[in-house]
Amino acid sequence: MSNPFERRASEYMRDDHGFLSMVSPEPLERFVPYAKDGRLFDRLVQVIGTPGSGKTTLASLLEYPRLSLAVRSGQPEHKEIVAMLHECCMVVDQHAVIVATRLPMESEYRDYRELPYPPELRHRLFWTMIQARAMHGWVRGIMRSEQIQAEAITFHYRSGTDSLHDAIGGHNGCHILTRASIVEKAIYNIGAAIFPIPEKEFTEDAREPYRPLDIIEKISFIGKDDTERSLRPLLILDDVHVLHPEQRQRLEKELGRRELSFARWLLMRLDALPFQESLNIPEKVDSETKSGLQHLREVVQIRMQDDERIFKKMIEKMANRYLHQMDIFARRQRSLTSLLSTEQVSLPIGKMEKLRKKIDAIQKEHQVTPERRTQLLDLINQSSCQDVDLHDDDIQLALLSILMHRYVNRIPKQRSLFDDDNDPDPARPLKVDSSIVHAARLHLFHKFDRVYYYGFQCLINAASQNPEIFLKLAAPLVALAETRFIRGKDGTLDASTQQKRLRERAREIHDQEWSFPRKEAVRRLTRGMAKECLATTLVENARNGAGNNAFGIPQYEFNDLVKNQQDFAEVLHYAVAYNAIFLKQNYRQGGKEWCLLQLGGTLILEYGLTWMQGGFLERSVNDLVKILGEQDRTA
Amino acid sequence: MIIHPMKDHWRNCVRHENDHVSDFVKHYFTETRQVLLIAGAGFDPRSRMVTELLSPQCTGRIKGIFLREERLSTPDPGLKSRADQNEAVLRQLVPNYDIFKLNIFASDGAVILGTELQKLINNEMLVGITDIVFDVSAISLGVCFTLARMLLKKCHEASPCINMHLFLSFHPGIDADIRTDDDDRISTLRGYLKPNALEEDKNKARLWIPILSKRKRAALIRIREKLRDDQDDVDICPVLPFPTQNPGIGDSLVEAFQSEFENAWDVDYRNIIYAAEDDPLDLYETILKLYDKREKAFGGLNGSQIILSPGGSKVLALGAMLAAIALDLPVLYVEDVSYHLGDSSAMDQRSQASKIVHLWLLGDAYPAG
Repeated sequence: MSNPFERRASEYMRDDHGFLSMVSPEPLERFVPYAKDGRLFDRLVQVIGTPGSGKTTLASLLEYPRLSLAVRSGQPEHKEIVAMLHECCMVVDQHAVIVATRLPMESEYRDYRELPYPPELRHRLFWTMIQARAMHGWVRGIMRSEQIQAEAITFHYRSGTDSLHDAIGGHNGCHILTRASIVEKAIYNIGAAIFPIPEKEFTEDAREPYRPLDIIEKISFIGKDDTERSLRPLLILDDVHVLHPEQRQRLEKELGRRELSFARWLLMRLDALPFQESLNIPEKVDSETKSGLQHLREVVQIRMQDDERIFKKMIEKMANRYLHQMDIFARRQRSLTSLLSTEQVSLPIGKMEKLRKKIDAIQKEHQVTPERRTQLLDLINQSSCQDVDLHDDDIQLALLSILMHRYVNRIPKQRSLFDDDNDPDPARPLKVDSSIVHAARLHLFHKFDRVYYYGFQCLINAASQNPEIFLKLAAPLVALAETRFIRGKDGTLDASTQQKRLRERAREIHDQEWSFPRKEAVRRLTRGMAKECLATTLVENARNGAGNNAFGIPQYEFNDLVKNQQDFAEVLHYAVAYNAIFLKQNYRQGGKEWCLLQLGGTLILEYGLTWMQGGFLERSVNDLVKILGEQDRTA
Repeated sequence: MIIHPMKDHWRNCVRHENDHVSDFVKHYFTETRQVLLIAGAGFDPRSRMVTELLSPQCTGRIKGIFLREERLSTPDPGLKSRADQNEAVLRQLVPNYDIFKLNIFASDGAVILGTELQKLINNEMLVGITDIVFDVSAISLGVCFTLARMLLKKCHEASPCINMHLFLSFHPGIDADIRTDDDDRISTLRGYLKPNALEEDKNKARLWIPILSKRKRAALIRIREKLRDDQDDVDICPVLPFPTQNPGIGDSLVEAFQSEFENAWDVDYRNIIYAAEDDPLDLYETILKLYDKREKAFGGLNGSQIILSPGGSKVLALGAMLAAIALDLPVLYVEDVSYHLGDSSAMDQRSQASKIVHLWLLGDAYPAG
């Protein structure tokens, strides 16, 4: 089989079995608490995530044909999916209890906003189209899955709505389908016309009210075994970010009404939200959204990238599932973790010699006594760090370099010729902790090419909780391992090979695959940020510990960003939406509140920065604007 | 699906190239012709070439509408100044002119060029006009596709029918000089079908024909992903230019898309369409043949649908455009958000070696009906 890591999950969507064998149910874990208390189904749900975070894959899993196949198949490999669906109250007693249909909100829907008709009419056309397609989707999904005709499907409506049934085709699935098709075509012809059709030329089918979603309660069908089953409809509108904000608000108003009996989810990217929302800038208004919903009570908001634990659990399983699609790995029962060696490779002899000479030169330059050097070495030997052997010569030497520079900074600068003490103690004791060890490794990486980026955890860090980025980074490593096996070698990749390929891949993603508005500006901004972070990271005394991978700007400056720096806010909006920058707001340090702009995992890879979180450079919004402008002039 | 009446005429479209274009202009645009010229007034050095050819021949009988395309970001000052210069030249060449500022995007980033163009095109502008000259040399693809379709409709409905001419000055190297930031949305075009739009389209056998371009690689990948996300089973016939001035172009495109060909797209190399780099009708003819074959093969089943995605080459895009209009085919593309010029002096030099092609799309050259 060709490399499955090169394909997105959607590549498997054509075949339901294939799809179910590849998809991971873990992201649904986020939904469980809301399912248990019913909020997942009785009110509007917003699911928000960056591109590649798995929203569409999740929606596709829940569509009725796949959901019911997973339940019916009884196959062991679907056990986890079914168990998770149980947890989410979508499956009860081995039967699906919801019927979901997914409608992608394409530019066609956005176009309704531009038609030259009054706003109410535009909204009616838009909303009618969605309803017609929703009805289609539910009926077709059940027909396909249960292998029955539309006649065997019945729609049930809320009591007291009898007078409205005929307009939507009654109760029978066949008539409902026919009516939905007629309405869909009538509305489509209006939207697609090359020149606007005057309102008076609309057909009857386009004029007549059509609002099945106002009254639908449940859908039932008679299965092939003559049993009647009842399902709660779930409407998933995907890519809602494509809509105009006014359309989205009106949609939220339509779907936020508590009297609606069907479940309704909106899937959207972060950049769907206005800058204010996407950047999570606190609004100085009350908590009601513009659609009139009291946000906390009436809307459930689920973010796809806010739980690293879930991501890690999911990604490891997903990686192995994908890997075992390839015979060459399945036969050998290899996991992705096992293919990525974490064996640390010390510097070769020539570079070690250079390093030793460098340390000796530092010692001489700063007049560090041999006794002090020995003390510092003892300090290193007495310390420990998870995953790093501090007895490796090169690590020791790099740590020694940092400690010596720190030592020199902590003793009096001016020492008299007549001063008896030529080995004073530092003003503050020195210590070796994980941040300095990281710093040492980074120094060795940049100055002596010692490997820093390798292992499964590195992939996880670089992916920034985005499955698609993970697959993109893992793909070439898997390809390399496959080639090695084919050539009769052990497929395990050494650390150096992993690092080289990962960094190349990261660069390719930024240079060739980033495709969004303002991407050149985002590239310039992140390049400038990375350059400054790197400069401070490589300072000899590792003043910032493990180094920096973020800028911190005062929180109050950030709150005024949209007002004061519209252009920069737009660039930042896209940087956040596309995983280039992650925001951490209200971060307290040094008695101040900061908004941290942390570079995304692939950028950290490309520019050789630290994985450790927390290190940031104190800057202002103007500094960032200047970086953008300066890079512009030099581009 | 509506088959355009000109479908078969375009197979033998009246066309001219290079020097023959000048001859045609000299002999055809005589005193009896009243011309409406629609052209782009952008940074592209090719924006003046057709007007420079036409204007001396049509003095006093030509009205110009020059489009200034406005995009999301503030344009590069260098690009803006080039566009201003080109506009100034066009205004001098055609003193009877209007400048139309065409907003490609709405404030929320949605592509609205279709609605904006609807404001431009009306029946009044065609009164007394015998010929519309649509110079697409410096007009972006989305505008080109939409406006061509609108103009064809208006010309066809006019009585008597108005002649419609399409001119293009091109140089493959110039397209490569221009870098773009892509929109992150996939767009359809006003007047063109959307794939999967109607329930009746859902089970059709689909063929996607992307015109390959390195510049648009990321965009084409996204379009393909979008088609798969919609659970479409899609065959793919990518288009490579051949024959070409630079014989290595095809290989370099295959190299750029190799990973897609071999993995995500699963392209059979026998399915590659080779279309002449300098002849839009070559690709047009190929698409027509493919369409006919597929209609025969899938007509008894659920039917067939061909989806087109134009890329960097304007010539090939024109061929796709004519096919989309003739056969009522859906088009998916990604709009450009902003442009960045590489070496502008190299681009100016290349423009001196541009070729020019004329297609007479509608009018007196063809039998009525």
